[in-house]
Amino acid sequence: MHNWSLVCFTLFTQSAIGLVWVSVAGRWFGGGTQADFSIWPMSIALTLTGLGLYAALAHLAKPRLAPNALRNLTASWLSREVLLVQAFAGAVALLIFISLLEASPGLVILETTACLLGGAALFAMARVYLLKTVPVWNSPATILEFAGSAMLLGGALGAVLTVFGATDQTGKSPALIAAAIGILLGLILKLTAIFPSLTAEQAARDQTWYEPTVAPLSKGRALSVRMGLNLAGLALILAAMSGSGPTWLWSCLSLACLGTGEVVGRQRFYKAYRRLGV
Amino acid sequence: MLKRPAFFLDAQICTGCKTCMIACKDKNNLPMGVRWRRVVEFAGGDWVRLEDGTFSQNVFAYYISVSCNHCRDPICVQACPSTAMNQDGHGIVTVDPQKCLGCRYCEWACPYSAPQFDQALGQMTKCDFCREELEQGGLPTCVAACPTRALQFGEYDQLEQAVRHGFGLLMAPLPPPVLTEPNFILAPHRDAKSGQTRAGAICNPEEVKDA
Repeated sequence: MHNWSLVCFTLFTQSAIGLVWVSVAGRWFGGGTQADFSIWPMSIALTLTGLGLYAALAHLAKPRLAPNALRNLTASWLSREVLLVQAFAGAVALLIFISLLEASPGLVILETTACLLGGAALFAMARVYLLKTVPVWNSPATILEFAGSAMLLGGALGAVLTVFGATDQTGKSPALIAAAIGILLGLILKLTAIFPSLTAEQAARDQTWYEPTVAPLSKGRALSVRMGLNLAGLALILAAMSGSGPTWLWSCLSLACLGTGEVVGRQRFYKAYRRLGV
Repeated sequence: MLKRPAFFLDAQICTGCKTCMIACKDKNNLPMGVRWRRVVEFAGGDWVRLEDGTFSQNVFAYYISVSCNHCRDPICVQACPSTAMNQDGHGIVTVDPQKCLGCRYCEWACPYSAPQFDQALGQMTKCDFCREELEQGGLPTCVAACPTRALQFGEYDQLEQAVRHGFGLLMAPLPPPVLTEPNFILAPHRDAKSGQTRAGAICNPEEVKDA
């Protein structure tokens, strides 16, 4: 099975959700005035969600029947995921439209709605993989990993956009602080996911018959590469915050490190698939 | 039509000839790589050193013919986002080709590899108990073809009563039946290993793994 379409869908969508969270937190942290609202993070989030949904279509053998994916909302988490991601995209689009109006009524309510829909979409995305017949995925690690990806990538994207949009280069803007907190939270979630991941992998080894197409996490190399890239990303964002040197370069390198780590990790996630039974 | 149709396999007399598998492929004109029924060979054993210093062996092998078990709690039906995978009043699980979008999520979930992806059609396909044969009072083709009568078909309750002995045993490499409540009754082989034992392995993965 080709996983690239799913890697793109999950990572793009999670980045978009994280970016909306970090941007909203940054604006609120900075006082929440309408003048602080930036259209760019929301536009990038909408574009990423659109690209993610387009990538998801590439996963289907019959993309023209994609609307059928919404038929089983009562039982299928995949249906709910598709609906919630689209609702999230809709809320972000509405947020962009409202922000263009002079008065911008209900901006905070819409921001809250977009954040909540993003959270719900993220949860549904993780629930899709919590299959009782796939022990390597059926673990709290899946939820922690997905939430961690949203925070890490959203934080890194938020930092890049803040640095490029900043009028002063002190690097201490509320948006940049929110982005750094996002990255730190993401890293904590990723670290928290390590133990349940190893437990799930052991359960899969004990209960399933076929070998996965990827080396086990417990061998260490994949894990250390990812954690190394994540730590490098955090260090670079802290360098950007300190204001020393080219902050735009530090933030771009941070995004590159975190993005590479996430792509490696997500590919590994799909390749680790092993199912109970025959 | 039966109220709760089910397959029965007597693993003790199944010789692993794969006639059921070939009959299914032939009857349904399945393309290469699509196997609605598969025969799993599970084998293991080693040399064993006895107390007197001599060696014996505990080698074993048995076969399990598996197709869709039209489970009472079908995980494929729950997982399918398009409701293409559906279960009728008799418990027969089928795919609606008008709805299936080929996301293959059912394939991920099913512990029996029952939904099989047909590359040419771009959708999932699977065993339907040879519904048209049943409607004419016949048997599923795989059952009719079995030369040893190891594979049988009938009403779940009657089959269960007939093989009360050993029923419910978790037999490797099958998944725990509590996962999906399959309409599949198994009379275990005398060397059957229970559960997820490490004392054996699937010896024909190329024949039974997903295409």
